[in-house]
Amino acid sequence: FFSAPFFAMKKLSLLLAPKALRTSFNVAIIPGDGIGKDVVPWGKRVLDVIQDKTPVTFDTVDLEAGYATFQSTGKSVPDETITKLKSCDGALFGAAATPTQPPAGYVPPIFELRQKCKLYANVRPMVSAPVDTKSGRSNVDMVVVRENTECLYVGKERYANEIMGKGKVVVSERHISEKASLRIARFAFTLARRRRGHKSRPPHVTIVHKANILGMTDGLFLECCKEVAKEFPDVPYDDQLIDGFMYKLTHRPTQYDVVVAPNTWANIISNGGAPLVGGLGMVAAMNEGGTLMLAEPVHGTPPHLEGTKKSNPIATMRAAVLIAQGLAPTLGVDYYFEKALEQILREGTSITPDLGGTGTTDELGSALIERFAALMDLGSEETEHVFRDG
Amino acid sequence: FFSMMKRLSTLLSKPVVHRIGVIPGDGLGAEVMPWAKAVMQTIDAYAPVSYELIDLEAGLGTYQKHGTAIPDETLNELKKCQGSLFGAAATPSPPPFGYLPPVVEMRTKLGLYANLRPMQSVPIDVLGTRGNVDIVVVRENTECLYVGKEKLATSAGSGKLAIAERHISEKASKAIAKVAFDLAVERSKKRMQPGHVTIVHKANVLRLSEGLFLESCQEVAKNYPDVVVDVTLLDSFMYKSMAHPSEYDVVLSTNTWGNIISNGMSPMVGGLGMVHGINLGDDHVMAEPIHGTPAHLEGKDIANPLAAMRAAAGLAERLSPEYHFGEILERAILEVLKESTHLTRDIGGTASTHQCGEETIRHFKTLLSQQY
Repeated sequence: FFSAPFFAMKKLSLLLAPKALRTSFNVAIIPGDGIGKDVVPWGKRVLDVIQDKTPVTFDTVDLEAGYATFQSTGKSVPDETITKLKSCDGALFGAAATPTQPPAGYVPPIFELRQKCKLYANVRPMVSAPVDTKSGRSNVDMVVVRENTECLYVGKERYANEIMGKGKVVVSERHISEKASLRIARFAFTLARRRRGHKSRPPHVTIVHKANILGMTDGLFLECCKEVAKEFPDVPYDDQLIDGFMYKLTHRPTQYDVVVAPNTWANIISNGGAPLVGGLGMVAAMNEGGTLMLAEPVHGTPPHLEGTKKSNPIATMRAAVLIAQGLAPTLGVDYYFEKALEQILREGTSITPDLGGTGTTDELGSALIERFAALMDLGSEETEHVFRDG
Repeated sequence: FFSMMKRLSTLLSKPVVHRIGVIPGDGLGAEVMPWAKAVMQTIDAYAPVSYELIDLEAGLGTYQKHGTAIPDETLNELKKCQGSLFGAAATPSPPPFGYLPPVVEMRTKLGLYANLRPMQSVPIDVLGTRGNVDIVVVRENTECLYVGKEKLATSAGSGKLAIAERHISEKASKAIAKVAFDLAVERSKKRMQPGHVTIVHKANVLRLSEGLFLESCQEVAKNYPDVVVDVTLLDSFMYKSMAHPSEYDVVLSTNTWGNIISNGMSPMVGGLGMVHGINLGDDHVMAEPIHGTPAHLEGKDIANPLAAMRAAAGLAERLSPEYHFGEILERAILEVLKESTHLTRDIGGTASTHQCGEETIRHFKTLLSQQY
């Protein structure tokens, strides 16, 4: 009853909003390599629809990064890309074709981007999809909050041949700092509080670690999380070892809400959990914490999909939605996109092979764009109506 | 006449006697250990192998009593044993400075450099179960993040900074690779297809250490030209192994990833209550269920004893391969699973630990006595 006029009023209120409430944003488009180039245009189309149907404007700029860029310029992320990103509010990154054993001097572009833009939090929503995949489960609705700056990702390795009798030895350092741990914990608990009541789930934070083996590093991480938890008495939490957690995640994923963990464990969790929600083609991540909201599909550039034009664009399109949500949360565009997604997936005619169909990237992408635009026109009450009646 | 002579010679020959340390540990570890012991005792009674079972202490209970989770006495006794059974140990919370779980110390002190975790599909009806899974995770068991080298520093801007070292050596990497490739060859004979080793790594983040691991494994691979090798990034493997587990045979990785992989894949084959690990050294074999001590399952007689029982049979098979005790227990377990009346909760039943354990031993006894 209220929805259509409410949405119109939202539009109007944005137009009349004080200058402090921005409606124009700069978004970098960085396809990268391989299938990144196939899927990123569909992410951009999502932004086009939002720009078309709301008062928000996205001024996009195409930037370079990736393995091909490294091969032609000597850097996986050229200085120009970093400079231009400084004046951007959002960025959509595709994927990089990092080889198994990268050449010296090569840094995977996403690591470079996270570090240079100070994106300390990596947020990965994992929500069940209405598709029938072998490992898919229903009613999963969780967010993995990954510390994005340290742990085994600090790039500190050295040869240590003085360790007797073992031949060549490499020692790698894993860093866990009080500062980064408190910061990511606060982010996770704040998110849990914000999500309270999200699809009627009680808020909960699960802290994942390996403090039985890594008593100092993960002991510190756990200590910091518990310290922050005191500021959020309304958010219950518990902690679990990563090995036990990986078992519980695949055994009963529906029990989780917000999961927070150091860099390495969180990466494993979101990759291992992806099959539960439809696969790597479905999951997007938002890297944030600085002045840039950099979103990406969590998949890489699998060789078997190269050139097939059948990669799933959903993860990238969801990444674009995350950008729009992050920059203009009052628009509530994620609601419309997820509804469009639900509809298109249930219809099943254009879905890509990873979801059990035979559709191409472009077929699925255009079906989603069309439906997303149509629902945005309808307004939320009508959209609900369509769903209730079939 | 010949079969009579054969029986006579079996009866007259000295039975093999193995010294086996038995370390129940805490919580669920202590609850399931009697069933692992029952497997050994049943073999002792029905087959031409004898065991001297020596009860030993380790774990949180031991730590609280004696100030150490793994007393010297336990280690000294274990050094005189050919094999051992370990239950599970709880970790004190918070762990004291320098604390390492007793099983980690045992692996180091007994030279148990390889950790083998077989995972095979079972006919049960539980969410997450997958068919056609037949994998062994081969996990390096001595180094990586398990070396216990951590330190605390204070850095100017970030407050406390804790640093852990991860060690990867050429020696340990080659040793574990050899175990994996030998296993692949052995399995290829039974599976009637070429052996396949998947090396799982994280060289995109840890260029030097994972690079050394990969280099070492690939060096060993040269000696096994008939084994198919593929190299997969951990992130991809976590995904692919959940999506298509039947594609894998032997999965080779370093300590930390190997542990996570086997725990994560366990729901496909019945869960943590079904999976066991064999810690292998040149002079000693320690077998264990891979589960820990979940407090909420304690004291209720609902824990699944099968992982611990499989550990016992796995140990017996390693020590006396000619008798195939592991295979025989698997047949017994299959019968119990098919009956489905004596399964614990985690695998879809309502039976107690005792009921499941007893029924499994009953079938095992029958099969053993038919064989020997």
